[in-house]
Amino acid sequence: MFRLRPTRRIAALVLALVAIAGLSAASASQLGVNGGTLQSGVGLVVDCQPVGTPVTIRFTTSFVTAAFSTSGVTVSSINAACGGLAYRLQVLSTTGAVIDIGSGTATDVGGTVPAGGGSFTSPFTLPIPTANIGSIALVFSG
Amino acid sequence: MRRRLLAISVLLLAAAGLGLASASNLSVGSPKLGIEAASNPCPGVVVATPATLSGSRYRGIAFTLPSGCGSRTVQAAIKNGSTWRTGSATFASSGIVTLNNTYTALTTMNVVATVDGWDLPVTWSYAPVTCAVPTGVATCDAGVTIFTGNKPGGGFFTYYDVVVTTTSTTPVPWRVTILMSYPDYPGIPTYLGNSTLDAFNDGQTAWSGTGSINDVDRVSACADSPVLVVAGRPSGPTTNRFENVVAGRQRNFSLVLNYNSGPYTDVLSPGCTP
Repeated sequence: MFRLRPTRRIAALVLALVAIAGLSAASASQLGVNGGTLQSGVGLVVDCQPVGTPVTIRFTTSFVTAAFSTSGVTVSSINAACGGLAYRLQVLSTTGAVIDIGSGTATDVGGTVPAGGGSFTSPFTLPIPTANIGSIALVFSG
Repeated sequence: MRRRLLAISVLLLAAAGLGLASASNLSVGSPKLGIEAASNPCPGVVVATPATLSGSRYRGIAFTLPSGCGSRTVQAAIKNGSTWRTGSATFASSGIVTLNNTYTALTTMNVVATVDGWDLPVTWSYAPVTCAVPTGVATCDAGVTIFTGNKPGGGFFTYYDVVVTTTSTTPVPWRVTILMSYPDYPGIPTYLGNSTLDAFNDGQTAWSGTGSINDVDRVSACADSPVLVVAGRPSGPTTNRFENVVAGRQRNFSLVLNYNSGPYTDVLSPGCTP
């Protein structure tokens, strides 16, 4: 199974850390301070899924007319540390383009990982041709 | 790759937004993240061949997955005339997908398949013999000549005489698939004797240094018969391993139909004899 190389994984984690830290700092700068004590601290971003145990991806497919069609995805082998976190999942085409599987303006799907990790199944709003799927990107956060 | 990273970044920002409201509390914890990117676990084109003969028709399709795939669920569909036959099976390395009805095998057929729901590009082969490089890094070819006649030393025999070639300039492993039920073949054998003592093989010396070696081993399951997949037995000097083939150095081996005696070892057994 394809996984991000460690350098890119670290880069992505750093990006996530910067994104979250930046958003937090911007929000904090807008807070009204009423003479109280301003506290600060440092938080570490913890990767909930061990590098050596990638999640397993299986699509829900059915044969329709003359080709296979995909209507959902099951993610399994999720580490317990990811349990209860929010997830967002995006399907990409064989050329790397985003495939719309969401509803409304969202092109991705999301939800909450079951407590304790394990697996979850996420249906797509519309079935897509199986042959168009090249990869998926998945983020847990919380 | 750039678009994949972009998608991940967008997902991260979306996920980060979920925690924005809590920032107003200035509580600093240890946020958790998990970033996963996955693509087809079994990339590459696989060869599909007819399997499970039922009269003059077939009810299954045999697949040999790329090496390293592990146990996977394969869904397959094949067009028989104007209708499709479908089925699925879970196996590792190689196996047969049994379909919901039989079909007539033709040299050209429309076959589609998935592996764990990922698209599985398929090349259909209804040829008497095919060759595959299980690592997928190169291709190979195989040809079979049916020899029927007297051999030096006496005896009337029928042989599959197989030649394996590649254009790869680096040694690559090879696997040969033989459709023993092919119409032009002399029928499905009970035994397939294999010996390095045959003149038509890749050397008559015992490379292993431990006695006679069998040139090929059966890779396919007995239940796959009449589809037979064999691979070169690991033997020979470091620079000329028989299980590998390289440009300019073909591999030859012979299989004697319905013969299993003396130095000839039956590649169908154990377990495949009636």
